[in-house]
Amino acid sequence: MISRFVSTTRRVVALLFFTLLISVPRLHAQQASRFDAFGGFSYLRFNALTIGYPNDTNMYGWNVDGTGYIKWGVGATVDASGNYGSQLSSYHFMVGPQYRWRRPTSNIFIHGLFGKAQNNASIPQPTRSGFESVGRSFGGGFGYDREWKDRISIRVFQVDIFHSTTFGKGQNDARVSAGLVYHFGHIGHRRKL
Amino acid sequence: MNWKANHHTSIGKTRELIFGKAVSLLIPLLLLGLTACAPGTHLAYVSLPTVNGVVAYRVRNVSSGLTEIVGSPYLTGNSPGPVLVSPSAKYVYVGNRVDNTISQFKISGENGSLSEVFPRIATGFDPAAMVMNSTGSMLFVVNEISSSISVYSVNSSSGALSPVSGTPVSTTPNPVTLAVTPSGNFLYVVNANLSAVFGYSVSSSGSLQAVPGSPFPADLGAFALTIDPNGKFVYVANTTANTVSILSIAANGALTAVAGSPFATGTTPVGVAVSKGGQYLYIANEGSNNITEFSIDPNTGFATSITGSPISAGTAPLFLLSDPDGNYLYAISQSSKTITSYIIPPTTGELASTGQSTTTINTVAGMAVSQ
Repeated sequence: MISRFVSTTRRVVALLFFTLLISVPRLHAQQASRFDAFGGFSYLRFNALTIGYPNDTNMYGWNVDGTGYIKWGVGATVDASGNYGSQLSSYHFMVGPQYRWRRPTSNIFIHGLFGKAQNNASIPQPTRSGFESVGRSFGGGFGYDREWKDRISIRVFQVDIFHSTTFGKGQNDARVSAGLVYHFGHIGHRRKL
Repeated sequence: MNWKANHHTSIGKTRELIFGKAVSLLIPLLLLGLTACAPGTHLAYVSLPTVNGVVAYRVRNVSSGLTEIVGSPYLTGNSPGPVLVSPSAKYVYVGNRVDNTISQFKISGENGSLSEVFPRIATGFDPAAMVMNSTGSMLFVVNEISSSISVYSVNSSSGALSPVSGTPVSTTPNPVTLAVTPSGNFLYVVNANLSAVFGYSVSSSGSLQAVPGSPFPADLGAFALTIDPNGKFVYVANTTANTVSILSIAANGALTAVAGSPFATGTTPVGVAVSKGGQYLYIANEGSNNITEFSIDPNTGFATSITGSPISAGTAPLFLLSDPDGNYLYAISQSSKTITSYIIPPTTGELASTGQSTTTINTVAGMAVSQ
């Protein structure tokens, strides 16, 4: 039953995405995108010292975000990521304002992020498989997108620093992401440098 | 039309290229900085009987600062008391004083967290103290209410305990603690009511036999004991007499008081610890809230008070523990629920506060440190 629901959901999402892809008009040179969708790989330097690990830990995973712009440079972003180590995993679900500077063939952006972090430690116990904690998280970062093809840019990097409170401890994590950005819609009639 | 701009200048292109190159250089440098290693650490485990758990700490070698490990406290049986870490640093054993069992935990090599290995092993009534020989092949437990010593052989690969045939062995009524020599050949037990130390020789199979001449006199209220790392002396804190007895160990395990023994301490000495090399002796005085410091003559065992002794130790220090590198001494207070660390200077032995004090969530009953 659950697998059928998941399968149906996947098909609907794929159909919606395809419809969106073919329905949006191409951006003109004098225009900026209305929405950006990013997906890619991410690296997290997890501040594991605060929860008793001998060193901070390297974790790898995914990062997606969606950004809508109300003006040339001003918008809001929704960001989610999941990173995994051998015993730890960490998820961030964040929202915040974003500002971009458009350049001839690239974008530079900065954003602030606020939301939740969920950290898990896989330490088998008699009654449970491990420990998890959800807490507040905030931070910010910046990134650089370079155009690649029509409507598609390469996110060369995105760097974010988060302060999260989980397991009763405050910790500072650094995340670096890279991947592809797809641009939807358009704003305005001429480019800003 | 295409989203690619068709009117940007060569200057703009050059700027873009320079920016891109700078970014590609910046990222590896950033990652390199983030992956720098932290200094060395070791682990400490503390039993909390009121929460039926053991708290694991990561201890910084450079500062003795304690960081609680995620998941702590790990559940034990009822009323955990004594804790010890195997010499291999792979397992932690906890005596559950109400359940009359021992919990065995596997230490995670990644972060020092604990996962219990079942089943729990039965002991006598009220396992009050535990000790393991230096090779980690034998575990000894004193059972306070059943007045016995349980001996277990330890599986070298799994850490599993198996009771040694012929044990538990009856001992002095209401024994409170025990210690084993580094060679593993002799075991000593004290009972607070009898002002004496009971000695046992330990065979290779783990069977116990009373040492000739045992019990050996200490002083009033013999309550805590430890053995120096060279296996030459037994130190006994006498809570009623406010003294420490120093007894030299003969080749057959018999004990003889060294010249000058017993030596005066503070009020109600209840904890005793010796430095890694055996040069210094420290006594926790619960009544006078301080730690008495002695230097020990390695040949005669004569104790000389160290300049600056005693050092203040907060409220009612109950027991003491030296870290595996011999750099720090930990004093545990049950009433203030604190673990306070002191630097042990290798040349003088005069304790100095590190300024590090960790408050536990509840009263501590036992503590052990690993390599």
